[in-house]
Amino acid sequence: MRSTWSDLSPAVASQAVRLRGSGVAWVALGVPALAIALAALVLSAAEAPSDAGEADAWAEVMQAAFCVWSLMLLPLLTALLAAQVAALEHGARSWKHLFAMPVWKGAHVASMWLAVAGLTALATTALAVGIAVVGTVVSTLRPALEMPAAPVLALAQAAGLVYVCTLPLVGGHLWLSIRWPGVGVGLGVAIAGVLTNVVLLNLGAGVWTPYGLAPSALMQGQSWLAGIGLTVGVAVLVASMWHITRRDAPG
Amino acid sequence: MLLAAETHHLTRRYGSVQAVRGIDLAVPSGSIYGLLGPNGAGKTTTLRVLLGLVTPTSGTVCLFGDTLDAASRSRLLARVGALIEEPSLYGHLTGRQNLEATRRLRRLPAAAIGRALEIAGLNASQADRRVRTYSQGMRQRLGLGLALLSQPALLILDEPTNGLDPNGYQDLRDVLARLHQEGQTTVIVSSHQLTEVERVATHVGLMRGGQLIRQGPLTHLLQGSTGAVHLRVSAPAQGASALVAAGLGSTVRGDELVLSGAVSDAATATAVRVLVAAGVDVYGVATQAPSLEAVFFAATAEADPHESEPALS
Repeated sequence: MRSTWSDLSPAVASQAVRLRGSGVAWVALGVPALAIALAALVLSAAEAPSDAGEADAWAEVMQAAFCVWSLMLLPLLTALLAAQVAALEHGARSWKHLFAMPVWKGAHVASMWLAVAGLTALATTALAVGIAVVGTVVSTLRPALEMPAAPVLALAQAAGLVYVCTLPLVGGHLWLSIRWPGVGVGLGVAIAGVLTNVVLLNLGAGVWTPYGLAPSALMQGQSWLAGIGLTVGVAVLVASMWHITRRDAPG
Repeated sequence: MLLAAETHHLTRRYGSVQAVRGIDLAVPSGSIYGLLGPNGAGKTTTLRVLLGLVTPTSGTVCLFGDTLDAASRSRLLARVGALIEEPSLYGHLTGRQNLEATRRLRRLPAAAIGRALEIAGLNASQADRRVRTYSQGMRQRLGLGLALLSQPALLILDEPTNGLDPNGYQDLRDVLARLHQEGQTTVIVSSHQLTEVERVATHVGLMRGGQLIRQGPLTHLLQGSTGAVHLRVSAPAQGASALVAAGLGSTVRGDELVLSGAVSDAATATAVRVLVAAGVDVYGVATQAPSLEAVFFAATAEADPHESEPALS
């Protein structure tokens, strides 16, 4: 393992250069904008609380935005980001170039995983910040909603929980995108996964699919699922590296 | 003789297709080794195995005297630069950024980029343009700059002349000649363009059908060749059959039959008589000076006298 993890640093440094100007950051920031727009819509339609026991507007907007995010947008975004990161190498036909470098092949896979995981984290953070900003603006414009200050801790907890539960998807979709060039396979699997998950969630079994982990954790408040997400996420990454490094160079 | 690269009984199979069949490559240090053969001869697979991109089905690869395996891979590849088929370039990045991405991977000093740009013949303005705006020649030169970024002891070039114009050929030859003069770099260059490689190579390996049919110093191979005799005939296929029946090997090139190897005057006269007797008209007889192309056809004819000419240019 000598030349393994020590190769991660140059691989990540090179990956950072390759991602410049590729547009992936705009995708990572653009998709959460949809959920933030939904949050704005929910808040603008919200009614002033009629009694003290009623859930406040923050809870309402967080539930709406994070449900849409974890159930649909985040899986699709993860698939799209993984496809885009892998497409940089497929498009340049650079696998043979990368794998002929004096760098452990797994370090390339790990650096791509870090790129997708980092961009997913950026998107989730953007969502949490966006909800806080929109909520604060709406509370200023509509004092009748009686919204307190933004629940920063609750937003951070929800974002963190959803993010960690999505890590298995990061590794899985990256492996798919490395094996099969193009956005089609990854997005197709993600769409099928999301639709299947909706059915399974209604049957109470959504938690047992990688697409159902984040919404289940969020909706049922099962934060222990974050541990499952982290463990499975790392396992999928290790399995991907093992598989890709033992094959002939793609392309 | 010190060898920069060698293979022992190297075989690679893809399903039922045997791409490389038990070849024993021997590339002397400091040489420019031309790995030549028609498309599909197994050149690219051989080079990919040398770079660890493809796992051999059987046999071994040695670089600088050490066996290439998982344990030695990074150490050996640190001394190798490669340009396999078309350059692997990121179109959304500038030429300089492409070099930077590889420089970081190889942990090289920043000065390496300036040197690579000089080799690639790219000025500052061109280096800061996005690669998607480059011409094919510029892309190929940048690919060569990337391969030479680490000042490798072994440079592997697979069909590097693809897409190059005559000036590009000349530039590439100049770079290879300079590397050879400096004596620090061994070059393996594969091509199906025998005449181009003949002008720069010091050693040659001829491949066909996954086999290495001949290798050695270029001068030795050319000394062993007496050129070729070209017979322009009315029915080449029929003529080739007649010659085979008479024990004379030949290859068909368009409307010509090519007798290669040690072709004496008597053999030429016999061939003409055999053709005329078989009802094939002979329109012309021409002799060709010894060349790599002639060596290749002679070796091919020896390997299989029934085979017609492979696609070479």
